[in-house]
Amino acid sequence: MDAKLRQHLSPSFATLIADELKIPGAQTFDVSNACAGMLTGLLIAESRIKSGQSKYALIVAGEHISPIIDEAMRRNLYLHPRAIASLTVGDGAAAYILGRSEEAGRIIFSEPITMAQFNHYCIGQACKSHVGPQMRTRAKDMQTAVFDNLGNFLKRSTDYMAVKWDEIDHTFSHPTTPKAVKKGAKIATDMMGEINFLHNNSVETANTASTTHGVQIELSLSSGHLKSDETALLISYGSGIGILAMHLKLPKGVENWS
Amino acid sequence: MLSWESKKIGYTGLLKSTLKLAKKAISNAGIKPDEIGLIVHGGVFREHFRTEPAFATHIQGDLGIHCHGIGLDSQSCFSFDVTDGSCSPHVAIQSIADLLPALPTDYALLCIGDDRPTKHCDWEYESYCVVAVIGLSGDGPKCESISYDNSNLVPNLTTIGYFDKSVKGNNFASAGTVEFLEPQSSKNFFQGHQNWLSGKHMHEFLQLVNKHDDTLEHCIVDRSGKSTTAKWVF
Repeated sequence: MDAKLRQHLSPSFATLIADELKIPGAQTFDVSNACAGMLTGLLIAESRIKSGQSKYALIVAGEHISPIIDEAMRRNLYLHPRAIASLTVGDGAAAYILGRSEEAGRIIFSEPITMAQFNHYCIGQACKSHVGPQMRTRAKDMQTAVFDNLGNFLKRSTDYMAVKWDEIDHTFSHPTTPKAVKKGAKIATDMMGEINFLHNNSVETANTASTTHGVQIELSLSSGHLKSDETALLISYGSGIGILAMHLKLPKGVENWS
Repeated sequence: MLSWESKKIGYTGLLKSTLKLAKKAISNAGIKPDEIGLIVHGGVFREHFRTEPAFATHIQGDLGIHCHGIGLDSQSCFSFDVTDGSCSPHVAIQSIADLLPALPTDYALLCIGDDRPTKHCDWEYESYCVVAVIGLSGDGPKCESISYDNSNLVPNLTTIGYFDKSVKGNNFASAGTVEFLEPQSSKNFFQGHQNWLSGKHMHEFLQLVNKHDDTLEHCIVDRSGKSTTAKWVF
């Protein structure tokens, strides 16, 4: 969505970004997977770098979703309770650059999973009667679906990635709401053990959809919580319901990034 | 590419057609639906300009592929969409080629197509639905490489969706004027019309597959001028 609430369709937004940045030789395309879109993009980029097809990849996400609140406010919420979800929304942007490393395993992905039986729980599309987007969410059902499967997902993912839970320094969940993150953390703790550092920073930023991990990492960096070579687990889930996680060692010198 | 199906569809009904063709393609590939572990959809236009969830999740859900809770050792499927104008099919194929080797599955479903978003949209396009089963090994055309060329990109030739206050509905508009390149075809090269949607590009390419026994380069030039070329070996 641009400032006039128009939806960019074609060519890919990535193509326009590459053109602005004067990167004519890059392959460019968009990935769409709701709030899990950024991690899906990172997953594709990582596999392309690993296979030697790309040296570096720029993965960018931007969200202008706060107008869904305007749409919801125009509704009679008694008749349209799903217009206001039990999620918070905020606008955000994030960018990652991935490149090859001599050290294996600096980034590892879980097996990505879509629980498509829940694909109707959150629908975003153009509002049929006004300018801008609308969203209809069965928020409680969606959270329940994630919570019911989170424990097994984490157990299975840490096994798949060969990562020890107690050696993960930082955990970033998808911040639907701060309360939901706490609930998820309780499930994770019961299944996996204590979480070393749960980053639950979304009170100020809200849920910035696909950009959320970038925004949360930036906040944690600003607070001085992240150091070179510490490990972090990013857990992402989005409408669909797609769920995947990325384990990474933080880049050297990260504490000096502005 | 182990099997494929394609057909022209009406203004709407992409999901219904995709499901029908997917069942046929999966059966023709000699596999069961549950052996599909990755679904990637490529296209630009979706019903009511839907942004989420990914169209591929609807395909997975309606095909009933691994629609169960996450167990400690249960099989699973992953679904998402990619888009890059008319070049979307090649991006989708490339994404499958990137991810499939790393996933605990041997088969992916490639789905291409567009829906007329709303009744307010003037729809001069022919919509096609294309589905293919792609495997890590097996018989069938092999996509050897995909190359990309943004050097002829005209960045202001964009297409946007917007709310048209005059009709109180959503429409889309394409900026700029394009002098369209005509389709080109020679013994080992095929390039469709620049104004075709993704589905038609793939449909027309698939009509040529059985006529080749060596190689075929399939070039797609998007309205914006950018292009992708897939080299297929038979």
